[in-house]
Amino acid sequence: MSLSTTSPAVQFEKVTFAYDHSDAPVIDVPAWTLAQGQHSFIYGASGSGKSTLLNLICGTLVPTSGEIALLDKPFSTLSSSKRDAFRARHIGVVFQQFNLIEYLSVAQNIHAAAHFARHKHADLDQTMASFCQRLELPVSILSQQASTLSVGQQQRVAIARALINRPELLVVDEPTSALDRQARDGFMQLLFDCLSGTQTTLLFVSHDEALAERFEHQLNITSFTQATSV
Amino acid sequence: MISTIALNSLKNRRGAVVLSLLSIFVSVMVLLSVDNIRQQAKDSFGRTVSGVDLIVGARTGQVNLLLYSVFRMGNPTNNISWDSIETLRAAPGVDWVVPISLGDSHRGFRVIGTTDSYFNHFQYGNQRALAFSQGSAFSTPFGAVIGSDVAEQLGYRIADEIVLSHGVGHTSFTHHKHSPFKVVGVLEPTGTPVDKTVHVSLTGLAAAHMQEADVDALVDRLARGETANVEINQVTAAFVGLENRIQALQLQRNINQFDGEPLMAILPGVALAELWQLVGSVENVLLVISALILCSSLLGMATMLLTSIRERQREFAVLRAIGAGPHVVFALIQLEAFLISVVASFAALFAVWLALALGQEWLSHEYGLFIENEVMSLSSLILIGIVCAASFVIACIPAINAFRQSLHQGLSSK
Repeated sequence: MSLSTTSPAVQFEKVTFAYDHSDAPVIDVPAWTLAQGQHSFIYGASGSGKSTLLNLICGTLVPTSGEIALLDKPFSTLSSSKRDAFRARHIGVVFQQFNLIEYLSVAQNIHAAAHFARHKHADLDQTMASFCQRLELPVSILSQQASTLSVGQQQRVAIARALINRPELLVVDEPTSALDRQARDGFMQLLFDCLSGTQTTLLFVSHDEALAERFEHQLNITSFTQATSV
Repeated sequence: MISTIALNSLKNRRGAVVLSLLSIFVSVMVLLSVDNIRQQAKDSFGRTVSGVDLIVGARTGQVNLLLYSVFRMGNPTNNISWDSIETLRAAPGVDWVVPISLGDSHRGFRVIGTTDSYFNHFQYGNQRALAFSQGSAFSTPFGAVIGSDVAEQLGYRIADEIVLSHGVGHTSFTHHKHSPFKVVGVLEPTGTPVDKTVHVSLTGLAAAHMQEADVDALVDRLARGETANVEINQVTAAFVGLENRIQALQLQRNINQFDGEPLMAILPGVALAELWQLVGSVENVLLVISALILCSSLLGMATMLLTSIRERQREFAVLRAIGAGPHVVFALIQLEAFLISVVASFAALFAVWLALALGQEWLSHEYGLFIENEVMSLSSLILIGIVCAASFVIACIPAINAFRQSLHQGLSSK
């Protein structure tokens, strides 16, 4: 893993966030930096503000105060449509479950991700096929409707969907909670295999501390939620 | 891409989608049919009389005069004297005068007494003259020319004898049994009241009201090759053609102020427009009703889409995750609504067109309705445009709902 790059992938500057202005902030981060290429594990129980944090990083929520910069560029101050476009091009997202639009085929799901990123793929079909290989999925799965896939398969397709535009930042939220132990280990292995040799920064959020040892950096979610309180 | 998503999304919910589609299909069909029939009715209404510049009758309402002289409906209030007809013929600017006499019927069909010039001057539609499918105009007092419906329904052919009844009912007790009228001509269908009319000469009609002995004498006289000596004293109304239509208003005023007897002249176009205002409101009510049916169908579709929004939260979260803005979600819902409306509308257009194409023959044959298949028209396309616009407006309800939801829910798919 390369740590040579010094420019930050994610940078929080005096960020607070509260759903209601009168409430105490859910997120409160005086300063936080995630270097490019880093693989970071954030752990915390569900309901502890993880999804709020992810929505902030992905730009579907904006901080109540402070600023978030991504890839050394101002992000949270952009207009919402610019944040959407930025997310499409530079951020890959894998959810806990239901990562695919179930009535579309696997290929159509991946196509959609490429479409919104306005990425000109020289040979998208070729890229998809090679992803299938790396994710140990049969190529025939591309033409299958997403709803016919097993949860494990869906999660693996989600990796392909998230990485198709070669994003600089991959945000992964509890991707293994719906998988059994064996499938979980397989998934983690495939995820790291896909990232190896890329500069992609990984932000992995989970309540499962057993996964933490695979990461070079670990952070407790409480450092985002209670930084200045208490 | 959005269209691929929309199409697959609709396929995925085909049950509810097909029902919405059917509901809009039926209501657009009703709307298009009503609109088509409305146009046709207005057209056929306006084309009942043409080429006639003035209609002159006894003083009454202009709609009433139009009704009995052209539509053969209702009863004349009073007659006008033959002297007035002669005066009218001599008036400057008058090209021709065709007197008509009403009041008798033949097995439920109105009988009109007139002169043979009626067939030259009376026009319908867009200046179309009456044409004979068989025979010709009457040249003898007892010749009868029948409309196409009369021939069709009573099975009459040339040389068949017919008997007139006094009064206009179907079962009249005073048949003019001794009036030996013979069919000499059958007219082509016109889609106007002419089709339901028996035309005879004024002399013949007068003879039908004479004593039996006098009629026999007249028949003998005609058989000897002499001319009829029947005096016409009065008629019901007259169609007038002018040398120059610009004189119509002037002549109308002169006739209305005629000294000899109280007369009234009407401009057929003006009277038709006034009559249409009375009748046309029914068509408008029909149109409003079909528009309401359409609204309820579109609301049904909006309801279907709105209910689906809740179960589509995950889908919206995925779309947001891959960088689609909430406006994409809005557009997706709108596109789905648009696809349903457009497919339903054009299917309805085709269905109405097909139904009319197949039913046209039968309608004219059975009911004498001349419905032209003009569904594939600009007016239908405008209606479909309005349907799509209405669909857009109504689909804003679920689309805005989806927009808000995807905006607030962000990436969480719970």
